[in-house]
Amino acid sequence: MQDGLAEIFVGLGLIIVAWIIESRDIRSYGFFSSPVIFILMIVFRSPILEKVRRKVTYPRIGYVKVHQDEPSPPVMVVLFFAITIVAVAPLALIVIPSDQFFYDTMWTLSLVSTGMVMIAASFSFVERTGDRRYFAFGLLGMTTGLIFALLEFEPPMAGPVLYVLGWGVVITLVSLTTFIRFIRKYPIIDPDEVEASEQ
Amino acid sequence: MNNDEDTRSPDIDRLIHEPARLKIMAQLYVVESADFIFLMRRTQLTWGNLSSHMSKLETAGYIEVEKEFVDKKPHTILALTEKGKAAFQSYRKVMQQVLNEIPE
Repeated sequence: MQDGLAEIFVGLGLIIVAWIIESRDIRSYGFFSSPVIFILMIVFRSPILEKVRRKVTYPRIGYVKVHQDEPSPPVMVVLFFAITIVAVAPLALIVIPSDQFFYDTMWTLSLVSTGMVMIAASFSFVERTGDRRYFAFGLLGMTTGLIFALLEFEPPMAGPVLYVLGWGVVITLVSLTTFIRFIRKYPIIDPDEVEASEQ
Repeated sequence: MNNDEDTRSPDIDRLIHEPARLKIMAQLYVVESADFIFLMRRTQLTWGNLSSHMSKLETAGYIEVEKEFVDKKPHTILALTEKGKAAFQSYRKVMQQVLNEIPE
């Protein structure tokens, strides 16, 4: 979006995810800590974003409520695959009796699935904003995910951590730049001041 | 049957035909609702101008205006009414008809 706030949240979310993976060894800690934090992040993202927009964005460019269209079929297909992979991978880790090799493979595959999530997110952003530049981010995210999956990391979870952290930092920095440009471009319109200056 | 009646151009809604009001109606037609600042930015109208045109459209029943206070500041939200949507669709049809009648 033009204020860059949604993207800042995505970037910060990725940094938090990297921190969760890095600070908690999934096998020793159990699977239920990181999903809970992740779900909390998803649940509270929209209300917080809306509150910030009411303070920062709407006084500058105004508020508009658009007609809610159903997402187009291609976006739904990509989202379905991404969500399925993200949901199936942890379940497989819990259900299937596994060894070290299996866990290492799952870490490698998580890079591919995160890359798919990135491309799904880019589809969704393009659908909502019409800005095709988001495709570049999605494609780059998927390509780097595949490259990281081919590289060897020791321990294997260092790959996903680096990947997610790297993208988190890049997206946060780019979005912060967008946000600063937005604030400079659109000063706050104060109804009282404008009315007084016109009289 | 009177032949003049069949060939005469349909009436153009003068309330919508005014450029500033046409801009407001067109903006509101494609969204569910929008606030005053959004319309000011999109139509490039001044606060006073927008306010005056808004009143005319509201009096005609084409738009509904909702006023509230956010952080002690007035916040005005505008939306097209069903009557406004119908009027805009009809205006669009009439204008297309008028323009189509012009030879190349």
